[in-house]
Amino acid sequence: MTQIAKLKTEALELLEKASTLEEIEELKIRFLSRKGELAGLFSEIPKLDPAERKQFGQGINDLKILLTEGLEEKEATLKRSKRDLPPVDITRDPFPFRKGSVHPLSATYIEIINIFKYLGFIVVEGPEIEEDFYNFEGLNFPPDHPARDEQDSFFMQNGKLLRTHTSPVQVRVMESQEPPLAVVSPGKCYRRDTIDASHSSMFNQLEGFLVDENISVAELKGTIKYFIKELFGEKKTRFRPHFFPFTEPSMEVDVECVFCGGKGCNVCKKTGWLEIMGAGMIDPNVFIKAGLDPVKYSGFAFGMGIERIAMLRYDINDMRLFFENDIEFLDQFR
Amino acid sequence: MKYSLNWIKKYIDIELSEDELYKKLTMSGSEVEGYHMLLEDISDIVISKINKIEPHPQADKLQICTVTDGKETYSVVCGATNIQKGQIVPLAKVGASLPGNMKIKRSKIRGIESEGMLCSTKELGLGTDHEGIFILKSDLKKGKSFKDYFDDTIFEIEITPNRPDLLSHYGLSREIAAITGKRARPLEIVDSIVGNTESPIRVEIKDLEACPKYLLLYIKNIENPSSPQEIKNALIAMDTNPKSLLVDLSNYNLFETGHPTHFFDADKIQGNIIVRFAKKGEKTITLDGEERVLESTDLVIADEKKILAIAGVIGCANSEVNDSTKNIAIESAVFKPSLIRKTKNRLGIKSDAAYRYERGVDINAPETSLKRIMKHFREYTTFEANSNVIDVSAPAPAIRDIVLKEQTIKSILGVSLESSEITNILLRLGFKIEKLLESSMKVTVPTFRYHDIEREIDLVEEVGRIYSFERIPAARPYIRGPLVLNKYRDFKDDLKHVIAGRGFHETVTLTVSEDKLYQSYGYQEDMLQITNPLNISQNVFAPLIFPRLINVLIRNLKYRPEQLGFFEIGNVFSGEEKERISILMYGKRWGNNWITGSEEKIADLFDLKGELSAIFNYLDIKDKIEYKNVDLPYFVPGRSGEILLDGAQIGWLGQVEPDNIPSKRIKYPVISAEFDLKALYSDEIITYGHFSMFPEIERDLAVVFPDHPVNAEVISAISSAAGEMLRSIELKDVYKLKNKAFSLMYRLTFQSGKKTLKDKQVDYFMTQIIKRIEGDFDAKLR
Ligand SMILES: [Zn+2]
Repeated sequence: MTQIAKLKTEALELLEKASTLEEIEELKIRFLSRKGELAGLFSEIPKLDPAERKQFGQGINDLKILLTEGLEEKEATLKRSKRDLPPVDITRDPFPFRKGSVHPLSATYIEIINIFKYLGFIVVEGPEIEEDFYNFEGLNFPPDHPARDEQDSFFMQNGKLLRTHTSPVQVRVMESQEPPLAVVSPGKCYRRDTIDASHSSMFNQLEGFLVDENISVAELKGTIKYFIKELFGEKKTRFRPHFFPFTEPSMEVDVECVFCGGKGCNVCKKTGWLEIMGAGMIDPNVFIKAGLDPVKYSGFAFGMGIERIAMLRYDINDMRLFFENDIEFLDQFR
Repeated sequence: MKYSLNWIKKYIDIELSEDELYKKLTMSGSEVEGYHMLLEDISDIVISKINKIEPHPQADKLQICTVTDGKETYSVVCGATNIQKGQIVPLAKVGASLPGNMKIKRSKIRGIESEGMLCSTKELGLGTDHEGIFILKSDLKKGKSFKDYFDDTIFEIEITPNRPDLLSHYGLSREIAAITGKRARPLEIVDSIVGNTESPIRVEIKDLEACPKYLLLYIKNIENPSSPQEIKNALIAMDTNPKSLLVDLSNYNLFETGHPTHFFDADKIQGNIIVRFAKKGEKTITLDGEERVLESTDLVIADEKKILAIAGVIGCANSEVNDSTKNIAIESAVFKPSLIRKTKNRLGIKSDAAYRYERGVDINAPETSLKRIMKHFREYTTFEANSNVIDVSAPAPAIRDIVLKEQTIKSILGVSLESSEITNILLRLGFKIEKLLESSMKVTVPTFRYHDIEREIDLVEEVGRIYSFERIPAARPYIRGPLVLNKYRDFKDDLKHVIAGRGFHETVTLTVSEDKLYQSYGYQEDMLQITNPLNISQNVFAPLIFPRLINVLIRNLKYRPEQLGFFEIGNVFSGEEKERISILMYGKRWGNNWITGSEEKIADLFDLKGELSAIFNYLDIKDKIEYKNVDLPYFVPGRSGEILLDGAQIGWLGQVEPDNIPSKRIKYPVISAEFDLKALYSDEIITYGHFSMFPEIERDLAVVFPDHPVNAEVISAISSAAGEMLRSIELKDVYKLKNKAFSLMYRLTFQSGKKTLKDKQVDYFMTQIIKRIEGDFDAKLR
């Protein structure tokens, strides 16, 4: 048995020292070949006591396996290192690439539209250069009425105007399709407002409306509450009466201030509430102007400012940032 | 609009706290924007009594007053001449604050110590009188805070355009009564106005539609003293300076009842009053001193010689009431709202009267207002005689009855209300109710709501807002369609992410912009002008996008001078409104770092073309796109081209002419592409064919052309000569040779879908191709 132990010590030492494939080859021949040293030990078995033979044989076999595996492993390692591929530091910089971003207003639109798509609303877009009929008359704004003051328009040389809200799409869709209708309409709008932290001559809105039989304020509330929950999480909401010419009854929707949790802060002007949209039941006059029967159909509509929602979501305090396109600003979005 | 809580409380008892009132009003549709104390800036002013007045030893114009607040006495130096011993006055003690951040300190005035200050109305922020001390009523309690008597809560409320009836203290009191279930006390008015003199002025109305009611009251020899403090305080709370009783009462009536009246100096009216339209070009000077040139659509109040007032908007200087006025004529009228609005907008005049007339006043308000003013006259002044009320009016409008069905309430509000609850709400709002059969009722509308309650649905809103939308249960609707999805928006949103992923920042720039910007880059067509621009820098609807992207580039070069890329999707107007996309690439495609070493790649036309190819590939339209070399005005000559989709031009690609870019920081080429977006969208479903399992064979083709050929033309010739086994062609190399000759090397790949191609077959294809190229381009195989 000491013979085996001696051989094992010697072989493992040599294996450890071997640093070339040639040396490995020599070791294979010396120990493992047909005329190698292990074979030599095997040939001594018959000379042993029958009682020792089995154990002796087992010992040689174990050593054979140990050496074979050791040599193969070492051989593979040496082969890899022979390919001359040094290891790399994967933490180094990559090949230079250009980084881009989607504008925060687009990201906000996508998020909002996805919620309404899930509910079954479809997207329809309308022109920005619009006719007075679709922007005002069809929406029950009487000519020469102070309700138009809040929507000071840019008038165009071609007799049209720049739409002051996305609501004209309501009239366009109702004029061309029979209910049921469930539509959201995103897009740019324009008002003659001097640009400041909360106003811009161009801004973005999302209009939505549902027209079918038996639609009431209850469905309006259910839809809006679902939307707010998806967008802002579990927040208190309130539906506050208001006035819009194209809805009756009309309301504004407030959500519990996302900054102070309703306790009152500067953003919510100490009220604890943030106004996020206007809504209401579509005025029968709007149905009539679009050629729909206000007795058969009812519906609700709502509209929200995308900048306002993006400002709340991203904690942005100046609307001008959206249109200045500073790279340091854009870079913060993906 | 501003409201004084003290004033409101004259008509209604309010048990709510200010915060509760704010919430109730806000939640019933009158949004309170805020409330504050009128005397917020004041502290430590006490009611005190003057015990002694002595002359100041060093100054003739000053006096030393000894005043007491009931506990202590103070020695105060005062320069006013209207004080007397025994008077009750406001004392600002040492440490007191007054408006304008004024603090009272212990100080020596010409050698005499003053322990405070006696205050004028102006110093207290309650008026304009700076000369005299504010002498208070003798029954005010010494030692009490001045604020206890004079402070007020001012509510700022947003009144929506449909509610002109709320534009007054009495109107808001009626609304508060409705939402709190209380009753507003009626206005104190005289029972009737009986004349004891004849008015020398009569009234003629030329157009009863424009002016459906005109009342005139003549008053002879009236005293015009200064107003009592109560009236003054009310006006001051409304940011209106008190002047004299006559002027003040006209203003007071406006804020109290919401009805504008106009006081003329009767002696300045020549002949009778005529309500007529102005003659085009007729001129008059209004109270603000401006000369106004009128149009034939402007309604005016005139006498037989001149214009006295622009109806419902502003009076004229020629008939103004002043200190020497003796006889007055009071106008209390109704005008057609849209006329007033047109005139005031055209003339750019903002007045409290026009604000109410353009929204509509109560047809019954003229009588009430005159009776209310008469009540005030009897209380506060004296006059010799008054006329009967001269009344020229169109027939009164019909009583407005609306049938309201309980079922309508249920179907619109989504909640069943008891008949008694509906009735109760409407009665509180001032409607009259008569029960009809079949769960319906006849509702009579009060005249002060004629401007917004016309239909059944308007009543539904009234019931809903007072019942409270908050109490209506929410229900998620079952949405039945429509089933035609619009995937174009998804297409655009996906595209944004694809382009952003390739290293471009999406921008949003203002579409309303300046024509010069587009002209400066070479746009030569007419642009769609805005006829009423806010300023010159926003006078057109943009015909292009890329000039604005260059502005964004310039703006950002100071942060990132080496590498920038932007894109924007937006509408342009160029003959028609259409949606476009513009992409801009600038600076390094990739810069140097530890991998690239000293090498870097500055983006050129072909870098952006590569990005476009990736985008078109993503959209699965790569094979439909072609490019054509065309010189376009925006770009460096010889470095631009059109992008074609199925042979139709949809946009362009080029290197922007650097001379047009107004920035010295630009040091690399600005590469721009802009094209129509809608054209790219297709909702075709892609079907996949079988793909080949056989090997490809590549062949290189190097050809010498006598002159540089158009690559697209060579490729088109190769493709048509090669036959259907040709899979792809790549331009591998371009050499410039002697003279004008060029050598171009193409790599052609052949593959069959059915078998392994043999060299012989490919040799045959190549022979055909070479023959074609040599023939078409006068070229030689290299
Ligand atoms: Zn807050």
